[in-house]
Amino acid sequence: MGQAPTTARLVLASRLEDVPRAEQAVMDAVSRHGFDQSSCFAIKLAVEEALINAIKHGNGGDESREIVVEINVSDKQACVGVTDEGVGFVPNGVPDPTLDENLEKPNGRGIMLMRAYMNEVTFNEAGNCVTMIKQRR
Amino acid sequence: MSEFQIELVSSGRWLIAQLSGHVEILRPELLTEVLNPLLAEDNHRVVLDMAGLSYINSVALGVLIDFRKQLMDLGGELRLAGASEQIADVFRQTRLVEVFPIYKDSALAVQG
Repeated sequence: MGQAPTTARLVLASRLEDVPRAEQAVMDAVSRHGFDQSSCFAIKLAVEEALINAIKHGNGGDESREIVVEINVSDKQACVGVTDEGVGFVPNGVPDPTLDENLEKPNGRGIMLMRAYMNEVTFNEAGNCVTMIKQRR
Repeated sequence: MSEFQIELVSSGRWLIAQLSGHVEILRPELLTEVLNPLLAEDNHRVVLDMAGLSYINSVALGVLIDFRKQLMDLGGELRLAGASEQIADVFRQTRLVEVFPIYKDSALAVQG
């Protein structure tokens, strides 16, 4: 019989120093539910990219703004939502960093990496909340 | 104090920089701090040995892209070596493997 799903809701300040706490909560949950090392690497990378985007772009580095991280992990999948207090953005408007002309630009890879390493990545209509799902292998 | 450490070894025309230490890269200046002194070396043909790294993210990729550009502006070159399969996959997914030659280890990198 599988374990009951692990759920948690964390509220962070918009500071990079708070990122490890949220990451650790996610990694503890996926480890508890038997995700393999490769999946753990993928989830850590995607969650970190989402948190960095929320802090830097979503909340514009304003530490008084909060970020909400919602974690729901079962034996079948990990679902992590990251919501900031920013005005949002149009995800499809972000330049593709894998195009030749963008290849040597130092930034703009966060969303691409989230999509590459998770099974599903969706944004709400406002663009200030991203939900990422990784199926357990 | 930086969470990263660099140990330098000369190998013919190449300078091998073995990167080690804490790899939770949230503050890009920590990686920049250990790479920037290499720009003051006489030899700007650098192999960055990543065997000690178990993790990377987009911020660190950006630091490496900037570092490579600075080396190239000085007439140098940057090669990567020893990346784990997972880290090498990040370079493949982002197509940065086309920008950074990645070798199995630093010995092969200096021969390539």
